[in-house]
This record gives sequence, C-alpha cells and structure tokens, in this order.
Amino acid sequence: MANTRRAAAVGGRIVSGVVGLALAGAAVFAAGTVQLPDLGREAPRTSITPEGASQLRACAGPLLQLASTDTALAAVQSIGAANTTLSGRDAAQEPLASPDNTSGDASGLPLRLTAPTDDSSDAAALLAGAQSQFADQENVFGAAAADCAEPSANSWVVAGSTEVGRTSLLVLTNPTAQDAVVDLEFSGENGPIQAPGSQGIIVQTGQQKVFSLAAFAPNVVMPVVHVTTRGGQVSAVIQQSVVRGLTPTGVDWAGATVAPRTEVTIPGFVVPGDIPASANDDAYDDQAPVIRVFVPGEDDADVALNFIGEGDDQNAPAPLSVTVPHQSAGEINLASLDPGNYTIVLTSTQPLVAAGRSTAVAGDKSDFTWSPASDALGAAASFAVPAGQNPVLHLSNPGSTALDATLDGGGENRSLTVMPGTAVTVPLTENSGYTLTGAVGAFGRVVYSGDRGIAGFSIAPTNPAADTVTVYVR
Amino acid sequence: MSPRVTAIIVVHDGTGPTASPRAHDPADDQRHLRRTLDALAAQTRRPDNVIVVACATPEAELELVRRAVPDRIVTSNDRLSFGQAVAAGLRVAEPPTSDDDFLWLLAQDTAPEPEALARLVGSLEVSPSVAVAAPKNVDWPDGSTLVSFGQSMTPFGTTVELVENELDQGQHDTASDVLGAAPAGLLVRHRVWDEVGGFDPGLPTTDDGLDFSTRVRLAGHRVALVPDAVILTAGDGVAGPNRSTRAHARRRRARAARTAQLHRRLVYAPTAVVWLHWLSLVPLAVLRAVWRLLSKTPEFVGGELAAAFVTAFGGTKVLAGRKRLKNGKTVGWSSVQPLRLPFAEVRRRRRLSREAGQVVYTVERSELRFFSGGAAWVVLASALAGVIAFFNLLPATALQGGGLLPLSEQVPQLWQHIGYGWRDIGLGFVGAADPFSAVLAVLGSITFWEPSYALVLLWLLAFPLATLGAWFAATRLTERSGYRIFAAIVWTLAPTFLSSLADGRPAAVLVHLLLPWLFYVGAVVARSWASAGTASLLLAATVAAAPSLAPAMAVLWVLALILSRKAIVRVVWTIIPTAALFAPLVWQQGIVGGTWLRLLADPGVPILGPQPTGWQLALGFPAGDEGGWLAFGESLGLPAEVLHVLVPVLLAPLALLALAALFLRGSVRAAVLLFVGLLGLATAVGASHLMLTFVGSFNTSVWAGPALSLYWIGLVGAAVVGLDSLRRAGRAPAVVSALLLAAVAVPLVAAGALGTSVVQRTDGRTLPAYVAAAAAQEPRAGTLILTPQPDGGLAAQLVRGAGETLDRQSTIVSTDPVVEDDDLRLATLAGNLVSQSGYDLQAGLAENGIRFILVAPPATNRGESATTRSEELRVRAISALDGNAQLAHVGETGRGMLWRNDGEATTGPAPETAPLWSNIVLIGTGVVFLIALLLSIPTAASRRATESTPRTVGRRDRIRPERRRRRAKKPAVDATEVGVTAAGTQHPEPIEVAAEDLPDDRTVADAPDEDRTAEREEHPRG
Repeated sequence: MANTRRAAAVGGRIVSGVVGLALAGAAVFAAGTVQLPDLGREAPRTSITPEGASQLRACAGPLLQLASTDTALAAVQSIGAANTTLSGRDAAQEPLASPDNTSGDASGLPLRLTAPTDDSSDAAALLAGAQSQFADQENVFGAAAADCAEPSANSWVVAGSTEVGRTSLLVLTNPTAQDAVVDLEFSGENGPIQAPGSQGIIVQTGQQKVFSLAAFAPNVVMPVVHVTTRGGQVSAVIQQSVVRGLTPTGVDWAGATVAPRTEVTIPGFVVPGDIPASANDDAYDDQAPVIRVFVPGEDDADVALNFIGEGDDQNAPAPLSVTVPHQSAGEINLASLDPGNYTIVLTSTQPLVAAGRSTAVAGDKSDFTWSPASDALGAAASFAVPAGQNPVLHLSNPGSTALDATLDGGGENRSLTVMPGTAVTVPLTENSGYTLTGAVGAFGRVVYSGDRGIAGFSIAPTNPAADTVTVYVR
Repeated sequence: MSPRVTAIIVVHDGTGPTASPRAHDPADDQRHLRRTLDALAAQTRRPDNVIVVACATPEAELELVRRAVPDRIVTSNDRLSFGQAVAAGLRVAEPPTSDDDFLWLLAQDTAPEPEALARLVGSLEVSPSVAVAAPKNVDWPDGSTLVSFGQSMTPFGTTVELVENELDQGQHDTASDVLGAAPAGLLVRHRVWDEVGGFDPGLPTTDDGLDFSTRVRLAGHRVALVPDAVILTAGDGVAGPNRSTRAHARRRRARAARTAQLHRRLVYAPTAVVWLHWLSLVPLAVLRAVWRLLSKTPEFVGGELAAAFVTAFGGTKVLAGRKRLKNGKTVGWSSVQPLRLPFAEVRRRRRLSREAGQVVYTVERSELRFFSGGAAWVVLASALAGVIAFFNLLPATALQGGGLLPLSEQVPQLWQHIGYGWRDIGLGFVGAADPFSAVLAVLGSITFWEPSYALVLLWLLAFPLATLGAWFAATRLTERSGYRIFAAIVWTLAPTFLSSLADGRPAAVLVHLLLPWLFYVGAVVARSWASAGTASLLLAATVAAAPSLAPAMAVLWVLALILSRKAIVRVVWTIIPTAALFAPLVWQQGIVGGTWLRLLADPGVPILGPQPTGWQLALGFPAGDEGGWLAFGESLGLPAEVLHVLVPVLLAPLALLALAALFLRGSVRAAVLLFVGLLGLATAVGASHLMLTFVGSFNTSVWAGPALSLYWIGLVGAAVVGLDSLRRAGRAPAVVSALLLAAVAVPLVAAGALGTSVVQRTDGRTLPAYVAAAAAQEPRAGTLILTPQPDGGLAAQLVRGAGETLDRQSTIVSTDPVVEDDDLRLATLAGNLVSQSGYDLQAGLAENGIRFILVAPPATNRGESATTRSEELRVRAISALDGNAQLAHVGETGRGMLWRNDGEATTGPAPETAPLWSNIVLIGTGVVFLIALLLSIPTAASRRATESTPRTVGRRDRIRPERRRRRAKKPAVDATEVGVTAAGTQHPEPIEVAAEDLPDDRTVADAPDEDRTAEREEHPRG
C-alpha cells in the first residue's frame, strides 16, 4: 500500500516535472524569439513658428585693398563705391562705421538694412539687399557681387587664398545692437592652423573690422574660416583678389556658406566655356573650376557629387565620388565637365562645408567667382539685383515634385515651372528687387557674366534663425 | 402552605435571537425540546402549572408541546427574548398569593435532572430570605462539563463567570451565595419577580440573569446556588447566549456582551455621573477598536462600535432600566460589594486560564538560528561588500544620476506631495500624486534631518538588507542553514538588483529589498492577522514602487483567494491598503482619463532606458549588455560571441537546480514558485515593450528590473526547495552555482570602480549653484531648461526652486501624450526664445514666473554622441538668447549655459487647492494604513500563537506512527522533522487548536476547535 502510494507520488512528480520543464522551456523560448510590438505613442511635440521679428541685413561696403600707413598696419582703403540695391517694403538703410578704412566714407561705407515686421502678420518682412562693383585698376580687376547677408553667430567662410599674388581680406560687419566678441578658427589643406590673436576679437556694434587673412594664415592655398561670436552677431565676407605676375586677374566677395551638414547644394555653378590657360606648370592651378570642401569632424567623409544641368539639354554629367580626409581642406576639380551651369548636390557621410570657384575669361584678363552653398528657399523669398552685366537667375529644383513659382519684380511678373531634378535660367533686370513665391525647396543664384568679369551671389531664405522649431514638451 | 411552582418554558424555532441561522438543524430542536419535555415529565416534584410560551414555533414543535399537555400555551409571532417571553407567559398566569409562589424559568433546551425541582424548592423553602435559587448548568448531552454556576461582577461592573468550562467533579459544591446566575433553570419567588420588575428588556440574551439577580440583591433578598440541582443546557440561544463556536456566533456574542456591559454601566451609574459615562461611550469604543486591532481580532471591531452606538442612542432603553432599578432598590450598592470579584482574583483567573494550555503543540517550531547558523556573518560580509562597492558614496549627503534625485529639504514638504492636491511640477496642476511619493515620504522621514540622506543609506545598506531579507524568506522554505545562506547570497548577487543599483533606480532597488519580506509574511497570510496586516503594508509599498508588478500580484492574489477557505477575509485585506493608496491615481488616470495602461508606468524621474532583448531578460539582465560583460569583455579583449555563450552557461546551474526541484519531493512548492517566476518573466517581457514614458523626443519603456526581481525570487525559491529535498547531496551544486553567479556579477558589482555606474555624490542641487543661490531668496523662481534633441528639435521644461526633487515627479505628466494648454504656452515661449522673433518675451517670461533660462547640453540617444542638428540648434538658441537685451548672460555652468531674466518675474500661476478632496483622500488612506499598522504590530498573544505553527511553509510535518517506529532505530534523528506534542506523549490523532483565543469580556474559554488535524498541506500563499 505504502509502496504503491510512493510509486504513484514519484510517478506524479516525474510527470509534473516533465510538464513543468516543457512549460519553462517554451516560456523562455517565447520570451527570446517572439517579437512583441512596442506599445506606446510618440513623444508629444508641437511645431512653433516664431513670430516675425524685424529684419536686419549687413552690406559689406566697397572693395578694399591693403594700404599700410605709419599709424595703422592693418589699414585698408576702398577702391571706388559699390552699387547697392534694396528690396523690401519699408526697407531702410544706414551707414556703419569702418574705422579700418582709411578712406573714410569717400567711397561709401558698409550699410545696415532694416525692415520692421508688420504686427498683424506672423511672417517676417521680406528684406533683401545686394551690392556689386566693377574694378579696373592697376592691381584689381573684375566684377564682384555679394548679397547683404543676415548677421550670424556661427558662420563658415570657405574662400580665399594667401599664396603669392592672392590677397584675401576678412570683413566682419556688426549691424546688431550689441558688441560682438568674435573667435576665428582657420584651417587649411594641411589641417587646422594656429593663429594667435584670432580669439576674442571685439567688433563693436555698428562697426566693421577688416583683417588680412595672411596675418592669421599665411601661405595657405585653401583656407577655411570658422567665425563664432558671443554677444552680438557679425556678417563675415572674404574679399579675394588675384594678381598673376603683373596682371590682376579677378576679384570677388565670398559670403558665408551653409553650416556643416551631410547634404550640401551649390546652385548655379558656372563651368565657363573659356577657361584661361595655365600660366605656369605648377601642379596647382587655381583657374580650374573646383569645389573646395572641408570636413570639420573626426572621421573622413565619402562624398558623392550629383549634378543637375540646365536648359533643354538635360544630360547631366555622371556623378562623382571622392573621399575627403577630415580636418584638412581639399578641392574637387571639375575641369572635366562640359561647359554649362550646374547645380551640384554633395551627399556625404560626415558633415562638411563646401563652396565652388570658377574662373572665366573677361576681355583680355580673367575673373573668378566664388559660389558658396546655400539653403533651400521657403514659400517666399526676395532678392535684389544691383547693377551688373547680364544678371541671370539660376533656379534649380533638386527635389521630387515640380514647382510652380512666381517671379515678381523688375517691372514684370513671370511664372516659372521647374520640373523635379532640373534647373531653369531666367534673365533679370539690374537695379531692381524681386520676390519669388512658391519655390519651396528650390535653390537660387544670381550670376553676372560678360566681358567685365563674372560675379554672383546666392539667394538666402528668409530668416533661417526663425525657422519653425519642433518643441517637445516633456 | 405548600409552595406552588409555575414552570414557564420558552420555546423558539431553534434559531434564537443570537444563534447563527446556519446552525439550525430542525432535528436538533426536536431532540432538545423532546428531551426537555421528557425531563419535565420525569421530575420527582412536578410543577403545578406549566406555561409554554411558543415564539414563532413551527407546527412540528407545537405538536410536541401539545402532546405534553401543558396548562397554558402562549403563542407569539415575534421571536421574543427570554425575559420578554417569560413576561408574556406570566400575563396569563395567576398572580402570586403568597411568598411561596415560585416561578421556574426554563427554555426549549434546558433539561433538568429528575431531582432538580425538588432540590430547588427545598432550598427556597428552607431560607425565606433567598429569593432566587440557581441550579448547576451543565453541558448537553452528558452533563460532564460545568457550563455556568454563578456569575459575579468586578468592581467596575464587568461580568465574570465564576466557573469556566470545568469538568464537574464537585469542586464547586460548597458555593452558596452569589451575586447572580445564568437565567436557565432559575427558581424565583413570584412576588419578588413582580417587585423587581422581571428581566430587563434591554438585555435580551447576555447578562439578563446577572442583572435580575443584582436587582433582587438590591431589593434586600438573597440569591443562592443549589449544587444538587443540575440542569443540562445545550446553548441554543434562548436562555443565555448561543454557545456555538462558529465565527458568526462568536462575533454576535462579543457584540451582545459589550452592549450588555454598556447598558448595565449606564443603568447602574449614579445620576450625577451618568452623562459622563454616556459621553465616553463612543471614544471608548474607538479605543477598544484600536485595542481589537492590536490584539489581532479585527472581526470584533464592528461589534464594539455597533454596541457603543446602539447603547448611546437609546437602543437598549436605558432610561426605562434606570427607572426599574430605582423602583426596586431598597438597599445600597455597598451591600453587594462583598460579592464582587476583586481585581486580583480576576487576574489570577485569567492567568490560570492562559496556563491551562489550550494550544496543543503538534509541531515544534524550530529555532531561528540566526547567529548560530552563520547568517549574522553573511550579513556582515555583505555589509562590508556594500561599503566597498559604493566606497565613493560614503561621504555623500545626496545622490544624483540615473533615476536618482535629491528629496525635498523639509519633511513637511515631503508629506505635502502625497495624496491628491497641487502637483508642483512644471507649471503645476491639481491631480493625484504617485503612490511612490508616499513611499519616499516614509523613507525621507526616517532621516528627518536630511531626507535625501535616506537614499544614500539605501544604497550603502542595500547589500546587507537584501541578504537579511532573503535569509528570512528562505527560512520559510528550508531548515538547513547552508541553503538559507545560499538563498541570501544568490538574492544579493541577483543581476537585476545590481543593475538597478548601478543605473540609479531607487524604486527597483526598494522592490528587490521588499520582495523577500513580502514572501516571508505573504506565505503565511492565512495563519494570522498579524501576517495579513504586515503583508498588506509590504504589498502596498512594493506595488507603489513598481506598478508594473500590479498585474502579476493581482494574479497571485486571485489564486490565493481561490485556494484559501477559512482565511478568505485575511487574503482580501492584503489588497486593501494598496487599493487605498492607488485610488486617487486610478480615478484620475483610469476612470476619468480612460488610459489604464499608463497606470503601469514607472514612478520617479523619466530617464532614457535600454531596450533589452527577450534572451537578456530570460537571463535576468534588465539593462541588456549581458550584465555589463560586453563592455567589460571588450576592455579585456574577449570577443562578444564568446560572452554570448559563456554567460548563459555560467547561469545554467541555477536554472537547472530550479527545474530539478520539480522532480524531487516538494514539487508542489517548486511548481508554485516557478509559476511566480514565470509571471515575473512575462511581466518583464511585457514591460520592456510598454513605451509609456516620454523623455524629450524619446519614449522609453518600463524598467524590467522589478519584474525580473519577481522572476528571480521564483527561480531562487524553487532552487532552494530542490536543494532542501536533496538534503546533504545538494551542497556541491549550491556552492558551484553560487560561485558561478558571483563570477557573472563581477562587472556589475564593480560598476562603481569601473566607472560604469551613473550614481554620483551631489550636494543636493540639480540646477547650477547660481540658480540655487537665487532660489534662496525667491523660492518660486522658475528655470526654463531647454535641451536640444537629436532631430533638431527642442525639449522645454520648467523647474521651480533650487531644482527638481524625486518626490515631486508625477507619472500623470511624464506619460501624457497630449500637448496640454500649459504645455503649449511653454512651448510657444521656448520656440520664440531660441529664434529671432518679435514675440513679447518679457510678458511670456513674467506670466510663467521664469527667472532663469538654461540651455542644457544636447540630449543623446543611448550612448551616441550629439548630432550636428542638435549642435546647430544649440548654437541658434545661444545666439538668439544672447541677442535678447532683457536677458543677462550669466555664463557656462556645469549644467549648461545660463541666462538671467532681469525683468519683472512674477511667481507664475498660483497653486490651486482642492481642500475637500485632498483631505478626504488623506484621511481615508491614513485610516486604512493605521488599521494595517495596528494589525501588524506584534503582541505577546500573537507571538504565542505563532509558536504553534511550523516555521516552514508547505512541508508535511505530519506525525506518522510507522515513520516514528523506523526512526526510533536511528538514535541520531533530526528532531525538527518529527513533530512532538507538548506533553511528549504520542497521540495517534493529534488535535490542533485554532491559534487565536477569544479575549472575551467574560473570560470564558470557548471549546477548542475540533475540526483540524495537523495533517494538512498548507498552500504556500494561503
């Protein structure tokens, strides 16, 4: 009796044990392999569009050249006056001081442009300005154009050269109401450059300071400047002029390019049909059409270049891919491209900054222009077209939907249709202001070309510092 | 003249006013009534008149009565009390003609012996001063036990039975004069009955005889006992209270006794002080309710309160009683003074009854062997290990990092943050607080000089407390010290516990410390109210710290309900404090908000947690990363693939032990524990997929740590059960699995030294020192914290004062997926602050009471570095704020870039209060917890009760004769495995008595429960 009871108990234990073992195994297996869906909602967020603030722009002022006097080693003097055009309702301009300019206000001064925002509307006022100048002097020749940019606390200027025969001037204009404490960081083709005196430069409110780049970064073929400010904000422009032998071969203003990011678009890049021949047999020829790139991070970047052509001939060049080492500036040579206007989209694995440079024959000399990258336009943008030869708007649409835009200004109202992946060229009237509506996601650049040289500037979207921001409330 | 005896028999239908309806067996009534009538017919001296008062008697009994041919039958449709029935019967009786007219009071279950009436009449005849003759009341059916033989009062008026449940061996036969007697079988002079006014209608079942006899004494007569007259009573509840031992009848008896005592107190009190007694009724009832809770007899609380209210508000007709007393009283109270029992005598009787040994020990409860079993050394060793592991936290006064924040500075502030009311987080709102805030309030009050220090102590003492708790929990499963220590070590080295300590999760650490204690008391909830009270408190604390455990605990509770039979009220009580604590939150989130899932969110600071895979959860690692081995192995050079295989292999012996327990003896306990573990694993897997909490732009899952603690307790428990069945053979596997677990736990234990722990010392401020200094002047100064998110967005948060505290956090806010109006206001302000905008920032800042703006370092996603978009936004925010003329740039602090608002900043929206609801919630929760606390405080009586229960749970401790014979051959027998009775005699069928005794007012012991033997396999959870 006891034995059968014990046997039954043991048998029951074995059965229950096996069942339990199977259940445990199944449970652990299920825990490991079954993919349960995540239950939960997205973090609560809201898009806040900041109310429109009154607008501020800074125009850099006339072309300058170095002129050292007994009292000021860093002095410059202006060469002629710039033509400035404004565009915007209730736009006003006032001159700023430029103490480094020994010519004083003889040839004009940098300008501050303002436009108040209408209280009844949330959108910011449309304000734009641009300046252009043609110089034909002993050591400066060419056409230069620049738009009057918004001041910024953090900007990258990819331009200039401090080789023999190349003069680069860094022009910092402070149109804001506070003094700006500026820190400059220089990098070149050999990596970051230590430049004493580049930190803590004070640009007082309403003033302009001009520096020769060679004072900070001498003998650098491909300098890249990073301008950061505390307190007020500055608009940074590099004015570069080139003299080959005894002949001046070009001058241009290069504004700030967009902040480092993984997708950079350079609209309206001109590959001229007539590139002047190389003067010497140096391996480096800065007359070739190039894109100067710089990766500020810690890792090398793999960059793919895609091209968008213009006009009826839609045969865009084949994409290129290059590897760019980190922290040293490099230039991608595009001499192999067919002549034309291209929009170049650089897609990179690491954030980078880029600007393009092209040189074209102008009469019996040559001129170059810098094409920094720009941001995509919003629903409404405005730009001004100062005096110059053959101003043309290059509008490109790298996106995937067609754009129906309206270009209003210069006495006419045109509607443009830009198919996805293409660009259009629109002739403009000089000395006028334009408004472009409906070109969301498009990139634009105004280019002057002729026998007096080539010049151009990009169209900036309104108020990037007032973009809609997503605010998470938890 | 020869005396005339009128016998009045009161017959009910057997279910008298105090009997429980379920006790009614009609055959019983017939038996009782038939025997009574037969005994009456067999008297040597027959009564001259027999009047039967039938109160709502069924036809069958009436037939019986008619066949006995009484002189009169009085029927009534109401169930009259004994006194009222006798009075009704007397209405049809002839009035007394002489002093020798006697009344004999009988009931349906009082069967007098044949000589009884003769002896009673004889004693009354012989002594004219005696007005009431009381017979000996003995037990039905054989009359061997004395039920009642005289009653008396203490000097304060409490009833005392002179004889308590003794065998009738003639030891009280010399008693003569008493103060009072039980009403069954009394022989009363009819004239005296009329003179005194009969029984008091306000005393239906209890103390009616005593009160009548007292009034007879006060009228100048005597009450005498007649030992030769014997009456058998069955205790049907007609004459005297129902003597059933069922719980329902006991409660009724207690309530009736207390009502009777209060009624007599009010009736006997001198007129000058009766109002004082009346005022004291309800307060005394509350005090006695508290005393009932303390003495672990909560079932009598209702009776106490009901008795007080009924007596105070006229239910027992005190005024009529006072008038009756006054009318009949001729001598003073001092004449009955000698008959009262002095207090010393009462105390002596109580001591004797306690020592009479009602509890028969069938199981020897073994000693705890805490010190002799080596557990003290293990606890000391783990304390040392804890100090070494958290060496850098020793001088800390507050902790920060992970989910740790300081607590409020003052203890009253801590207690303001519980319940329902103003929640001071963000812009503030009126709502329910997390139950975890109540746990934190208790913790912080322990170190009242510095509430945040409680969390430091929690970290430093975590190891020894875990060891201690696990050792005690293991005492429920095994008697062997070695295996108890094994359980303690394995519990302390649990990967989930060490992960929670390294990641700074105070709620999960608390759960891991509380779970073993919950198991320790929860396993024996059914045994006593003390364990039910303690278990309810621990369960409330555990579920408050980890609401994700609520579904698993609910399943276990339902299981306990189903399996508990007698103790169902105790099991129901375990859940009540938890329900009371969670009620406001359940109301707000569940019933009003309709989002029941959000109740499961983790309380405390919302932090971004890891996403463990199912395999990692099955191994017991809530933070993934194989318990820190992947990172540790990288630094040592071990490839990840090797670790993925090695770590499960190292943990396998423990799992194998747990599963092997299913095949050994005690597999039922192992199966239950493994079921608990399965629940824990399922909860962990479910919790890791519930992305309920929002942190900036991320949503994060519920921390699986507490659920894995439940899983671990199931595993370890099953392993200990298996080892216990293996006995000596289990020593090697135990040592091996403990050592391998220690090897697996190395990276987590050394997390402090390796730098992978996020817990750090802090000075109690979570905002920059500049803000804290300003907050000293302006306590409500708000700081707007802007954190750039990886996708280029911005997270905006408002913090008031010197920083965020742990007890102010609210899951209502952290799980809310909707952008509320307050949130939108703050978001608009934040969005415009970081941009160039024309928004009137000054008005926005002043309206919300913002004094500082802090741009924090960009948020990153689980180990990655800051993205460029977040860096861009940070630059944009800094430049926009710099450009604002009204904000003064304070500078870079350890927590980000700080700006000060120099304009007018008001204190923001004023705190609203909902005083009515918050008071109701606070008082209600407080009362429930006070009851639980009173129930859980150990008393001498409850300690004695636990002595009679085995320490372990679920083991068969039955005494089997054949086993004992076998064991007698081996001299070295483990005495704890064989139960012995207290007297050492070998009882084939031992009787175990109910653990609680009734502390009745009457100091009468109830008959022992005869329905349970020691052979029962208690369910481990009830």
